[in-house]
Amino acid sequence: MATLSAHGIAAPLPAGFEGRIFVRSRIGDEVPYPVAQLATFALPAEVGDFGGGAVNLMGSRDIFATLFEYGPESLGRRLFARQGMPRSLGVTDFRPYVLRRGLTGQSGTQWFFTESLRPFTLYVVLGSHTQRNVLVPRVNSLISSLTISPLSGLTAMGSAAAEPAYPPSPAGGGRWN
Amino acid sequence: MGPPLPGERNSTSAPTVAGLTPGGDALAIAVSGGDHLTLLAFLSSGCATCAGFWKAFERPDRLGLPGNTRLIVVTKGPGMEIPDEVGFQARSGVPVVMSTEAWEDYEVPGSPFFVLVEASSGRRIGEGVANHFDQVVELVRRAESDASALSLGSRSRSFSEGLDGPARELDNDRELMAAGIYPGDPSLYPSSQGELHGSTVRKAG
Repeated sequence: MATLSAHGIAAPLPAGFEGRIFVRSRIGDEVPYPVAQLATFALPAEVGDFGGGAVNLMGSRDIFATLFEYGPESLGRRLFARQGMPRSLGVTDFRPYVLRRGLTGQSGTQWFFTESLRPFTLYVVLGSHTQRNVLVPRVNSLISSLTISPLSGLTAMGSAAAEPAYPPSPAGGGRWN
Repeated sequence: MGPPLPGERNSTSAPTVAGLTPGGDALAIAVSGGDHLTLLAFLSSGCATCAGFWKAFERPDRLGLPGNTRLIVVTKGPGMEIPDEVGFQARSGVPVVMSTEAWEDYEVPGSPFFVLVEASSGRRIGEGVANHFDQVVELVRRAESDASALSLGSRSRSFSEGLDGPARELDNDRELMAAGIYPGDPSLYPSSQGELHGSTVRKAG
């Protein structure tokens, strides 16, 4: 089983999955943080953080997942109060209206949480809501083994370091949504 | 393309290619699933022959590959290549994965080396060495053409609809009769390998 690993995120990939873990290049004063994108279809070179440019390519049996890290200023906020990423989702967690881009037939789920003192959101899209009984177990096979490690350079609960502990990729950039 | 490769190589398996980008990100490419072709270009940052390919990849729109072909460059991992040097070579939008494991998985004998994978079957359908990218494009086009021909040749109802049992037998009988081959036809009872594989030609019907 191939494993993606960078920026303190490791994702063993079940058969049929591919993905990337990257940090976009800095634009202005904005500080970018790691993003992991995982999919069962060929991801285009330029994909928005939450699947823009990719979810429209999904077939009914496809899955797209993104793990998006927020800055340390988000630590301790109520939105990120959940400790730990969900490692098993149910079919009822997916709803057609939980989509950043409301493409007909798809459904999604989104979770905010903190793990290893790092605030994240996990956003998952199913190619077809009606296929969720088949697709959700595949999602679970992906997220059950995904690990998030603490990063050096981040301090606890809101006393944020201003700079990320990882360099943005020089080749990053491009789309944001 | 190039000299014959050792016969004991596993030349059909096509595992996912995973590693790091020159910038330190992680990247994994699944080569199976879907209906596209993936062309893996195993290159090095320092090999003289590879230089021409790196140069060609600066303009991926001019490579002449079929539209359904996904080009991925694979170098050895950061332990055996200097990421900055690979990054300097990789100035186009062609994805670059640094992965020594992928070189081992695909038993790459040296660089440059190209592997073509058909996503629908998840198998390698071509591989070899080339000096110029035109040769690689020719390999891809030929492989794509062969795959299309195979697909057309297999388009019986029993194949495409997954028929089984009596329904499959009936469908096969219909196809044979449509081709002029009826019960008792000698071609149904080959007496030698030559007859079976058509080296003894006979006209049906």
